[in-house]
Amino acid sequence: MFFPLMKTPNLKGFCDLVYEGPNNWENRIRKPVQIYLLWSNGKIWNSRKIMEMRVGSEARLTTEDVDEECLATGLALIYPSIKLLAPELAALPSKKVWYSEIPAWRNTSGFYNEFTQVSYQADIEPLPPKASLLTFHPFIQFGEVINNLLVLNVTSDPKIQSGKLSMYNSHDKSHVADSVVSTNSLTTIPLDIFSFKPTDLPIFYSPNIAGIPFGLGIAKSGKMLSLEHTHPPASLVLHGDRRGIQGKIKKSWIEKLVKV
Amino acid sequence: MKASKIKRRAKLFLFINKNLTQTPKENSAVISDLFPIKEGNDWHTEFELLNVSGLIAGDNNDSAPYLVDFYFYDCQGNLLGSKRISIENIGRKTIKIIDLLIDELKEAVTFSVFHPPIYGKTDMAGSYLAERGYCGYEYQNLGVKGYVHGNLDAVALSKGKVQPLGNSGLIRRYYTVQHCLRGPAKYEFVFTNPTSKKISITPNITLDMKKWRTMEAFTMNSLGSKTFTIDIKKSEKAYVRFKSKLYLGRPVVFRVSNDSMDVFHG
Repeated sequence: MFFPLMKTPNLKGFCDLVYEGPNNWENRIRKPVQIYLLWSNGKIWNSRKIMEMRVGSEARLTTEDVDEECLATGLALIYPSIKLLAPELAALPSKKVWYSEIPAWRNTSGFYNEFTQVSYQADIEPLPPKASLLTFHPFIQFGEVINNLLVLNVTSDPKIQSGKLSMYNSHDKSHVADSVVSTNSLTTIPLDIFSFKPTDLPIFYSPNIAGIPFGLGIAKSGKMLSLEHTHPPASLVLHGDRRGIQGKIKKSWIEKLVKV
Repeated sequence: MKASKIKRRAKLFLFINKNLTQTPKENSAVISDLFPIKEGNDWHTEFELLNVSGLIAGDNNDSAPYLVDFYFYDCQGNLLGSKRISIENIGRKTIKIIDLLIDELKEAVTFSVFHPPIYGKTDMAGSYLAERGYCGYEYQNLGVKGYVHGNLDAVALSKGKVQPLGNSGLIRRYYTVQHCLRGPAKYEFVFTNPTSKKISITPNITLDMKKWRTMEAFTMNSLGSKTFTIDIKKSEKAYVRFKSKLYLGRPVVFRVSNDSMDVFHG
């Protein structure tokens, strides 16, 4: 389980770490852990020990605390490890240290500026190297606000690969624009240039790179930030064969969009 | 079988011996979260309404009327009434909740959103249409909303009846909010009770993760809602945890600081 430290233009990123599980019955780990910062240079995962944390302790790591090279992709990962790690890794460590399921063990990641902060309960597991992304984005805001789409991707393989992210208007299936997303990165895509209307529901589709998409809204005054992830299609249903339904939803939309 | 695996299974049985949420009783049911409302001098609540049936079916361009029912509840969990909203043939309709809170709905503190059943039109493979979508909260007319998605899969509507779907256990357990409370800030933890039972919640607070102070417990009726508020002083850091029988005692968290706010699920 990894926790993201994210960087996006004009904001600073933070990750608040708490060595305390979210419940009192699942993962009762008590050993000191080594907190590592991991970042990909496209060939290997670099690792740097940041600190040791003992149970009950907390720490805040910000993008101001780490070198620029660690955040060249917009993303560094924080990994609590029982063992010492080598400075270079061919793949992300597979041992889950801060981990629980009900609920998932998370930490707070987000962004801040001189006025305010925005938080997101974050954890991320490596995504499959070949996977697609299809999501609906219902929270573009209007007025004195800057809207960005963020796409967070982590794979175990340190390679940084780029792929196409296409934007469509869900209602008339019209193609709006193409952009690029990358693996092992936080990709920031400004949305205001596409002139979506308040009644539009944009779809973002990538045929070969999965990720967690976020809507980031920044008040032009700087006094309010907004960050929330969009849902995968499986979230439109509950119980039963959700994975099967997700496959059907994706197939149905992709067939129509690709025709366009 | 390894001892650790047996131990985990035993713990799982003790603490979570049923699914997190129940399956609705009827195949034709639709599911919704219970979304908190914040209205008043400083707050506005909006909801992003989408044609969810169309999104599942692969086409939200539908000239037939798409009617969605908003159900409103007071803090005791009483159903106050409902409003039917039509989505014109568009992708997204932003609903200002205050515009719906008239007459018997004035005391509403939560709402759920029930879409028309899709069962029978599309093969749902045993799944149910669910509204888990997005509330936008605006503070002090800042012009930008903080969004948060549905927190719990709380209720189902079938044949006109609302069924709570949340499960609770026999043993009280802690849910530690995975967020460092940093001052100066006012934190509001908004709970809803998705179960059919009355639930008691005991907040605990600590400044150092060692000594936890037990605060006064509160109870929520089925489908009721309570807000627990803490002020954190400048340069103070704190953590909170909540003891209850809820399987997932996860609140929506509002942090108000420096004339701005931050909202997320805890």
